[in-house]
Amino acid sequence: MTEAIGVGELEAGPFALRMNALRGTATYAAYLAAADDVDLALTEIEEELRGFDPGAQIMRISPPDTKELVATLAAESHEILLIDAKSFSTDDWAVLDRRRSAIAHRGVTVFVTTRPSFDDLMRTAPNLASWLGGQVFMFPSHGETGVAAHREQRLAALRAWASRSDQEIVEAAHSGTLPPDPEYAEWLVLLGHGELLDTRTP
Amino acid sequence: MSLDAVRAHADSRKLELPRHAKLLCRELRNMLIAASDAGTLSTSHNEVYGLVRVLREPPPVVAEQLRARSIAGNACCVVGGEKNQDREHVVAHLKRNDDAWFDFTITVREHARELELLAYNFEIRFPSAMGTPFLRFDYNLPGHENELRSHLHAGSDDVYMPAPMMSPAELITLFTEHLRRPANREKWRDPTPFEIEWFRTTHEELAARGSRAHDL
Repeated sequence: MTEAIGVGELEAGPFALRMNALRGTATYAAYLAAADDVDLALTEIEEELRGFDPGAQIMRISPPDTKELVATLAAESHEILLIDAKSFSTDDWAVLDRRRSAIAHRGVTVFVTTRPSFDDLMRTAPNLASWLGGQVFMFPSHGETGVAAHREQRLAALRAWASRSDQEIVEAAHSGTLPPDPEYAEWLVLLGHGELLDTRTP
Repeated sequence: MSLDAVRAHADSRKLELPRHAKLLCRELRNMLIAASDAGTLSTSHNEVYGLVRVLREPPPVVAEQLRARSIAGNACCVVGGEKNQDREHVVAHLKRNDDAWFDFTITVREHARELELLAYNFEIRFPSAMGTPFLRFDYNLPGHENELRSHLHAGSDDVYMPAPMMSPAELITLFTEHLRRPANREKWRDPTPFEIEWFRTTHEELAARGSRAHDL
C-alpha cells in the first residue's frame, strides 16, 4: 500500500508556471488542496495559465465520476486539462487506472483533488501513480503565519527608518500630520489602518 | 513662478490598472518572469515568486477598525523585494543582468470594480560608474497642494524633481528594459574633470563627517 507522504507545498503561480513549461508533452500531475479550497486552486491555476498565454487551450471540467471523464476526454482534447477530482472515490481511481489508455493524450492533465482522494489514488491506481511521477504538489493553506512574519519584518524596517513607533504613526494619521511619503501608506496598511489613508488629506 | 502646471501635468495621467491587487501582482510577476527568460533580469522564476507578493491588511482586532474598513474599502500593498531603506545589498531584491538591483512597494485600494493607486516607490540602484547611485520614483499620498506628488529622486534622498505618474507595469518596463547604457555606445562616456573632482571632494567631505562611506 502506498501512502502520499511528503508532498511539497507549491503556490498556484509556480505550479502553473511548471505546467505551462510542460505544454506539448504528455504530462500528468496532481495538485492537492483542502476540500473547501479545490475550487479556488482550480481558479488560480487557470488564471495563472491564462496570464502566461491568453490563447492557451485550457479545459476545466468537474466530472461526477471517471466514466464521464473518460467519455469527455474521448470527445475532445486540449493543451491543458484541469480536472476537479475531489469527488473521485477508490472505485473511480481504479476504473481510471484500468482505462488509462483512454485518457492518454499529448497535453498536460492536472487532477486537482483532496489529500484523502489522492491517498485512494495511490492505493488503487498504481499505474496512474507512476504517470504522475514527481508532479504532485500541495496548494498551500492560506494561513496568516508566513504573512504575519513578513509583515512584521517590513514594519521593523519602517520603524528603524523613521525612528517612530506604530502608535505615533496612527496618531499622526488621525491628526492629519502624517507625511505623504509612500512609506507611510505602507505602514498604515501593514498595521491594519488602511482606512486612515483617506483621512490624512488636509 | 509656480510649478503648478508641471505638477498638474505630472499627476493628470489616467492609468490603466488591473481590477484587483492580485491581478496587478500577477501582471508584474509575469513581466519579471518574462524579463528573466529574456535574460535582462538575473533573478530566477522561483525568486520572483518569493519576492513579488500581495500584503493585505491584517484582520481587524477591534469593531471600530472593522467598521472603518468596511466604509473605506480594502487597502493592500503589492511588494517586490524586502524593505530596504538602508540600501543594503544583502537584503532580498530583484537583480538585472548588468548588476543593477531594485525593489518596489505599491499601495492600492480595491474598490468593487477598479483599483485605486494610492502611493508607490520604485527604487533602482546602479553599479559604480553608471552615473548615479540610485533613482527612486515616488508617488506620494495626496497631501498639500504645493507638493510634487509624483516625483523622482535622482541619486539624492533630499533632492527631487517632477516625474510623470506611471503605472506599475510601465515602471517595471523602465527598470528591466531601459535605464541602461545606450545600445549605440560601446562604453560609458568618460566623466568630465568636474565630475571627477565632485566625486573626490564628496568622498573627502563624507570621510570628514565620519560617514560610513569612509569605511567602504
